[in-house]
Amino acid sequence: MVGKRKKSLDSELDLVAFISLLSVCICFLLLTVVWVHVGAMKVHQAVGGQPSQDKDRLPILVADLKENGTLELRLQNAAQLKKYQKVKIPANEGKANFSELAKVLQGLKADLPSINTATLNPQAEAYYENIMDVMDFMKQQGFNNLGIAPL
Amino acid sequence: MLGNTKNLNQSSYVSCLDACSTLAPSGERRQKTPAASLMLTSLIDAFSILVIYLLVNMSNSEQVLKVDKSTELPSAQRIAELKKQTVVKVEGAKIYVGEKEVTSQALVGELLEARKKFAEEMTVEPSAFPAIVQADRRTQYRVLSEIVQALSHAGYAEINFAALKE
Repeated sequence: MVGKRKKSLDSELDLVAFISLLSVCICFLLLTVVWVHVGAMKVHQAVGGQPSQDKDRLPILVADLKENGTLELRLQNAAQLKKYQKVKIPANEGKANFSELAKVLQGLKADLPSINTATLNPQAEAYYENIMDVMDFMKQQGFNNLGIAPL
Repeated sequence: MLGNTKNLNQSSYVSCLDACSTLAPSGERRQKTPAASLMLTSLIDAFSILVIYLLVNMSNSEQVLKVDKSTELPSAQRIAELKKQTVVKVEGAKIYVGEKEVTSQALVGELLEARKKFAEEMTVEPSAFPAIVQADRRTQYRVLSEIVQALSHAGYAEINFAALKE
């Protein structure tokens, strides 16, 4: 009797179709991939005709941004907090001093937790990136209702 | 009746895998195959990781912004996903509403037209007409202020500033 044929222990799997499928997926995704994510920062702007009586009573932080990065903060509708009526934060190397701004905003939030509205008044020569940096920083500190005043 | 299967066993039509198998090679031991064997396991692993990475990075935003090569958008952390809205672009000294170049005097009129078209396209009346402002990070505020004012006059209460995710 001829010796028994040994049973093959290896199994075959045809991966060619799978590789083709993966190649097509990769080509499609490479063509449609987004390498840089662009988003948008929401800013509110008052439109004529909107009732403003309720908003007048809410405390609002007004920030004047100068061209060199100096910030002047004024608190409106909160006369009891006199130390925030006028706060000046000098610039740091041509940009806003975010460490000092953080201290002021955190102190304000501690004294007045309900405040979340701020209006930014940039000067005409202020740069867009500085304005965006200040707005982004204020949003991070909890001022979600941001407005920007036109000249 | 096939009593002798020796010829069949010695057939040259054997699988490449079987021939290269070290456990139970079929045909002649260590048969030399004309084709070189290729290990595809690592290639499939690499392809799978690439596909997963690209799928995760896919973006499904409704609005696509065309940014000029000379324009550098500012960056920010607290930004939201882009939604379909009117786009106002500043490139150098030129202002565009959508893809149409407009002058400062015609800006409000063009924005009102865009707002009308937006209201027609949207099936639901939007509570606040949104607009997105796209400008280079070195633009001075005097230029943007003009656009912000025009947007206010045209009834756009929600203004978004385009920025790169930090």
